[in-house]
Amino acid sequence: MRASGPRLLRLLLLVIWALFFLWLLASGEMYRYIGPRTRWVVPLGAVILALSAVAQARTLRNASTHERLDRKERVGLLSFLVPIALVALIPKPTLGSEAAARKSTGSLVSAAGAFTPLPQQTGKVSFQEINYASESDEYAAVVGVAEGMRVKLTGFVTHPPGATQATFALTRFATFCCAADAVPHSVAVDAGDGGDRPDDTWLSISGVLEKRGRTFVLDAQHVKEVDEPENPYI
Amino acid sequence: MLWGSARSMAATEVLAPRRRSSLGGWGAAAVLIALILVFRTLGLGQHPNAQTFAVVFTAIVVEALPFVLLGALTSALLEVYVPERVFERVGRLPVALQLPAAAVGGFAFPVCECGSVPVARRLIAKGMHPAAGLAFMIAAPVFNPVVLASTWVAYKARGLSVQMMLGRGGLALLLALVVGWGLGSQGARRILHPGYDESDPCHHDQRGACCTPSYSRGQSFAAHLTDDFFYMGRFLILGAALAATMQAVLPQSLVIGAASSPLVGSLALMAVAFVSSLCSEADAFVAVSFTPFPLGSQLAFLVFGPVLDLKLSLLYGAAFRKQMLVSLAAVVIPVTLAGSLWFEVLVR
Repeated sequence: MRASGPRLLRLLLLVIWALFFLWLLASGEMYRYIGPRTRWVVPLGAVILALSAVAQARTLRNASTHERLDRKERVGLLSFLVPIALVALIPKPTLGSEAAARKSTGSLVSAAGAFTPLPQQTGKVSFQEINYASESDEYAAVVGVAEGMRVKLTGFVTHPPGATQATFALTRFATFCCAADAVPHSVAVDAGDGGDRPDDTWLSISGVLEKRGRTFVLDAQHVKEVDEPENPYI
Repeated sequence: MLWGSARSMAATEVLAPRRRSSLGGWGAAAVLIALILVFRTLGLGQHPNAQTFAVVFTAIVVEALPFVLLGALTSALLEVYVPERVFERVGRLPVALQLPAAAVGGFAFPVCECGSVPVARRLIAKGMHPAAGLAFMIAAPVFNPVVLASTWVAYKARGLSVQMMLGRGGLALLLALVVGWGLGSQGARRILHPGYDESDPCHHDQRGACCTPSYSRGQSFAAHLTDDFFYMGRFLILGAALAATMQAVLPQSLVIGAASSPLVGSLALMAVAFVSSLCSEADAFVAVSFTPFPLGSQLAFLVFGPVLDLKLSLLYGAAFRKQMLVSLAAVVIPVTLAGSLWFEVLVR
């Protein structure tokens, strides 16, 4: 039996895409691309792609053999291989200091004043809380961000312009749906003389918050180089 | 220009079938593998711009492709399992009834923008009034519970939840009605892309689906499903590539100078919304970070993006005629702009 070429190619693409989604899910690579709010898209995608492949397979039986792909159609179908080829070409890509500089609107505190309400966990503050606390005393009081507070942050090194009172900034991207909507959040770090590190170094820093001017600065006490976490975003 | 290229791609004449040797396929695979090896050994992908492009491109495709598939699934269900007489009956209802019903219809049927395009295309082709189909397509990505709730959450901390949610929902609904009323009077044939023939249920015959009379319903469903998916999906992939290029190249600080004026600010953020092609469920969290901009401009970003952006203009180009796209832009830009300025006056 000669199966129809166009249908077989579509079936093959659906199977490849279903496997790609499964791989994103199983390897944890989806954390690199998809934000916490829509992570369910990946398993959902894997399931509906697989179901579509099964449905497509059922049409193979009585396909006529004279079906052919014209060139335009072939290019269209092969474009579905581009995203997968790109993951092979550039494995484990990251949004780094360069992207943070491009996505920020200029000030050290990138998302100034815009804060999403966060679960009130006392003693556990992260990048956004410290950012927003620099903008609003009221917010600082509610969340409990204050001078002398001990915090531990993990992020990568950036050097935003205008960070004069600090050695460098520790930055992390926040995502919502996917990496396309990532917003960088930076906290100024005082690592002392000679404590500077190159851009994009992942560090885990514990220290004490100090207020210099309006901005909270993390006075670093322990600085440790770490690997990029599986979920690079917050 | 963009629409032009999208359409010319979609409308290229069907070329004569050509036999493809399997040798060519293996050759292409070998070239690809060699390319991957060279690329990875030389570390060409390590450049920051390449990294940003790779993250954003894959993110948009992975995020949106399941929704394109869900849209194709809904569209195939409508095509194969909903009896023709249902559409005939709905199509006979007065436009004054169809139009607003379709605009609020998204509330019960939440699809993102990528899913609403194939569904709207199918609804119009099946006989729903084009005005109603367009109104559904424009309203559904914004006027739905998920998106309004995320807008609420994003602006909660600034105490502007109610204003932004009502402003966004209201302006989107207004836009849907204006687009439907303004563009929908032309008739399906003048709106839908000619690649799609509404009178013939086997419109896809050049792609080899559906035209086998021996098909069962299930097989016909599968053929329509994969047809729509592979037809729309390629435009999504192209749109994601363009959006990722923009994100990898343009600095956001470019627009910051526009923040002082509500008019220029709105135009600037509409441009940002166009190039960044965000998902309507997430864009409120990005909009809220544009604090230097007036609230009206942030609203313009939230209303414009889900109606017209890079990936959407390619998807529209696949489904509709070029003329329709030009008219759509001509309606959407001034209405969004005027609405955002009025909102600015109201909240101030």
